[in-house]
Amino acid sequence: MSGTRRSYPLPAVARQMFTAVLLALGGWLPAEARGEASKEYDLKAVLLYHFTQFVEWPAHSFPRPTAPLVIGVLGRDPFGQVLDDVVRQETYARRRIVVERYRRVDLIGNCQILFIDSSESRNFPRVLAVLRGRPVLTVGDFEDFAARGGMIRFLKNPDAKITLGINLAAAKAAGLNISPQLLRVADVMPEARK
Amino acid sequence: MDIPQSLRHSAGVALSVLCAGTLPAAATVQSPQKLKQLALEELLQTKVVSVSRTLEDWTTAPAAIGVLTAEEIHRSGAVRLGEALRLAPGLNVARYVGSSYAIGARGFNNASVNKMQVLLDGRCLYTPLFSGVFWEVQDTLLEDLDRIEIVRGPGATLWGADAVNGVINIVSKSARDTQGTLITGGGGSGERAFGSLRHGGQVGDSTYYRAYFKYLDRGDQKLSSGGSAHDGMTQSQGGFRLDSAPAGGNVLTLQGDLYTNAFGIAGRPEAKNEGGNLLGRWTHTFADASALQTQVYYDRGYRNVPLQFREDRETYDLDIQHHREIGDRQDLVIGANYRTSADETGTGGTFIFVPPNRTLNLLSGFVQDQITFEPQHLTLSLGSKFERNDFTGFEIQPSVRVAYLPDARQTLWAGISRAVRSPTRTDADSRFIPVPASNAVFLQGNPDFRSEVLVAYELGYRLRPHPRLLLDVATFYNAYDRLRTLEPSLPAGLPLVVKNERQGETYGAELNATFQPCPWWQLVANYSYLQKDLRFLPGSHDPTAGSLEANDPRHYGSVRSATTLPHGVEFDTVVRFATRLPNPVGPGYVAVDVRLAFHPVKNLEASLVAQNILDPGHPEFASGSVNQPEVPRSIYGQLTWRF
Repeated sequence: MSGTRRSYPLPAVARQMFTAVLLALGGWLPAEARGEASKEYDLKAVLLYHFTQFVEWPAHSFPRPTAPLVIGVLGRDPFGQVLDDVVRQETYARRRIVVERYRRVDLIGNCQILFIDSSESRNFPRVLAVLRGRPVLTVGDFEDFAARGGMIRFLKNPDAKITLGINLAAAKAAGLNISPQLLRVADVMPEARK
Repeated sequence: MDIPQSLRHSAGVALSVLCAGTLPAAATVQSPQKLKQLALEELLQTKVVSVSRTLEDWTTAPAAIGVLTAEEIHRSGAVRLGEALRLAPGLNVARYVGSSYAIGARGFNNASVNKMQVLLDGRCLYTPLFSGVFWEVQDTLLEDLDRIEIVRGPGATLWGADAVNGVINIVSKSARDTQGTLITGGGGSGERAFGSLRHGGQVGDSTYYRAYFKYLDRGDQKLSSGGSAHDGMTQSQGGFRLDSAPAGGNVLTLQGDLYTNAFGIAGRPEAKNEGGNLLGRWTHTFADASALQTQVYYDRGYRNVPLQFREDRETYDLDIQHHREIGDRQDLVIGANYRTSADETGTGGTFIFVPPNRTLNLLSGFVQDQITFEPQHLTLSLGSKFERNDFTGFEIQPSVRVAYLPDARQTLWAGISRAVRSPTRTDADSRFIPVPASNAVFLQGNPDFRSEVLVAYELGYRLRPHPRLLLDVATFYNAYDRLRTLEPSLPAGLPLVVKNERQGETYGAELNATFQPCPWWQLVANYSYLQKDLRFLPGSHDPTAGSLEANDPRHYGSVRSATTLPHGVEFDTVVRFATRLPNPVGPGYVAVDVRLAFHPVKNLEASLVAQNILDPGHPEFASGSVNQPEVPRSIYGQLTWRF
């Protein structure tokens, strides 16, 4: 809900008082941001968006032709508003992209991507059981995520960069098609592993 | 300023327009909008900064919990631990002599607060001498802290700790997250000179380390009469941490610190203190996702306040915790702890102990089961802590808590807990002899002193009406029994003997609001209200009327604003307040601190902090004497260089 974007005519007095208050509290319109680093979960939110563009879901993944692509977040939500903002105007195959939050495994709804927060790492086997046979791309950043059956893992290196670990076998077993462009920039696990 | 309703409404809409339409601008950090413009390969080349997981993690907990994040600690401009705690939600922090602080929650703030548990990376910071913390010597490298968690109320069982009025849990970052070199240095008035150096590196694939050194020189406060309080302090401290995650679900940590400290006391030679600790922790996660954590630490502390008292203490602590899930609904934690603490106290000072040397053994265990009832959105936590101490034997501290989560935005929680404050050497063995040569004992410990008991009833509610606004209210009703009093003995009245002749209730509420109108502006408001109704038992004749036990303001709190401006400029202000202290009388105060920081070149941060800008000095504590040390107005600058 970041947009009460109606234009609203402000009386001059209000504008001046308001500017004075803002200055007093030390804020003014910020200029364009200069960048060096980014917040960890801002970057991961953008990567999640990229996955929607580099993965293909089978037709039966969606309940209706007009159903949106749902990115689910299971457990504690480390993204907050950022993930919603990043996918707001974007589409996948002319479908809108929306974010849903599931506090517990029992509450997982119909989604195409599921980000599993480390708070739910203990429940991971149950999550996989619930998702078995469903074309859901599982993403996570906790220890051994890909080795335990997760499909794409965010790994933060000591040099503070994120690398992707992809368990291709798990993705294929769920009926998902990962584009070679995504595979190329990631560490793909050998397919012999489950 | 009386702003008409229509203007206020306009301002509100305009604010959301301004904030919604602009690019978020923590200008050394890229906005998500900019990140979206990068190609996949470029994204994977971008460095990330971790923000410690904040409100989201704790919004469903059935307890009054607040968190100070690493970012908030950094933005406070604090150079040592006692100061960093000023912004902690619900804590009353009062600086009195030198670098001594009275830090507590929900009342009973005094010169030797004994109802708070304080942990630093799992190590207990308080001394069994009086169950309190010598805040002058407890410090760490603040830049390497991940967060400070504050639990108000007997969160004992929930957090596996031992507390009556609250727990302060200070957690430092893993060595993996503190790689590279950090150099800080600064000075000014108040904080005269300080500096630190830390280097972190990697050994092999899965082992990380860091080592640090820190130095601080604090100036004297002034007395209300104008003279110097002669209570300045210098401290040098160094330490290390090693984290290793070899394969097989093991995580190992080894850390240690050494410090040496000296602080002044008016009219006397300075006090000298030193100490060190070594802590090892091993966590193993099994194939069934259950976990076992074993922790061992050694802590040594030496404190010598000339002519007053001396304590040389060695503590060994072994702690084991097991965490497992049972079925779909239950989350069980059980733990056991053995702590042995041996002290040698001096003779000939004004505050001595009989016997002078003693070893205390504490055996404790706890169990906590968290049961989830999903259709009803309820979580029930049942637990208890059991302890056997050398004074009162066996004590039990059960707790029941329930959380109701009607939807993702709200949490309603309630709890009933029992907690005890067990006797300490001060309660049982102490002798206060104001004139050592006379051997006349003024105050005497009582080996039959019993534990103070608290039964706490708590109710709280959290609401997130908007992703950027969190409202949190916690209320409590505490019933205390067997509180400590000082009773005259027959026939002469002196010595006063430590007894348990007081009981009563305290109740109050804590409110916290966190609002982020724009990604570059955060507002946090904390407010605490406390009402006390304590009574002495009919046989009590305590001449101090309990003023040494509890001198608390009825209202205290803070409002802070943190803004990140273009080009990485940070402008932060804090308004802190507390109402007057009742007995001994002390004035209330309003204090304003300001911090301005910018980045002249890459990797370098320059900051300027001004504290108490409103007045030249004010006391935060009341000792009963007319001439009090006052926390001064101070200004200092700091440079921080990371590479």
